[in-house]
Amino acid sequence: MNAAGEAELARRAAGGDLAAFAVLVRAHESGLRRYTRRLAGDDGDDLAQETLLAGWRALGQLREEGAMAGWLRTIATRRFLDHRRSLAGKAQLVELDLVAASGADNRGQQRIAIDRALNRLPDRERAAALLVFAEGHSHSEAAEILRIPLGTLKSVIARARAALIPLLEGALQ
Amino acid sequence: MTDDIDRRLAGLLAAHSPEPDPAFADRVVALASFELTLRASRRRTIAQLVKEAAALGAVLLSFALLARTAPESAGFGDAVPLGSPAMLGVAVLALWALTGARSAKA
Repeated sequence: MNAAGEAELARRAAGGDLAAFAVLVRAHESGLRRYTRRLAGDDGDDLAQETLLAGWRALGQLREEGAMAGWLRTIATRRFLDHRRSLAGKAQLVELDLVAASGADNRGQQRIAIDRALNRLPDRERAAALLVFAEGHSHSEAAEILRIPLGTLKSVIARARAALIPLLEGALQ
Repeated sequence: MTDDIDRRLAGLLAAHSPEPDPAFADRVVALASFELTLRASRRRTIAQLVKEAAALGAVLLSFALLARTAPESAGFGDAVPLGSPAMLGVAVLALWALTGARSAKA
């Protein structure tokens, strides 16, 4: 789907056209779920669902053509971090679905190790690492998504990098 | 050095997207549809409430106007002048009945 086509669909969906919204959901749900599952573990699909509905309600605010994927990740990340902050003091371990990836082959084992390494990161560092390393956002884009200054983002990324290197040492070699 | 590590981390953290899930997409669209229905219903309810509040206001105004007619001047069984506050009250009541009847039809 090109940027202009997506913008037209977004305009129609904002006006209440559910068929247009369905096309947008089908175009973005898979990539969004990939991100939210790694961010929120077992709650990833629920987070993706909430994100798509929140995005639909706010579609009128989407101004930039072709920016929907990044915009949805922004909504998902902020909702996730806000929710986790609201749970401050309660148990906050993200439950990653490792069962599905528990195949005995090397790639399955590596995937488990990577997910465990991500799981050990604090929420904001995990979100920053996923946005920059896995989703390919620039530092300034990630800083905007996380609503933190660029310098702070760089510190967060440095901490995430330092935490991930030893945990992934075997895979990096 | 950092760039190289970042590239390798990016390679490791990159993940394939899960298979498209039509049931998931349908569920999201169904929830949006439900929300649209709910919004429309809420709008109708609020509009109805406003109409009924206006009608109630009209009734209260009618009674206030009727109360201002002096019974001793009109007298029981006397004709009520067309321009009197009581007639105005009756007109407002008639309007309310008309509005109510149209709302009920809709």
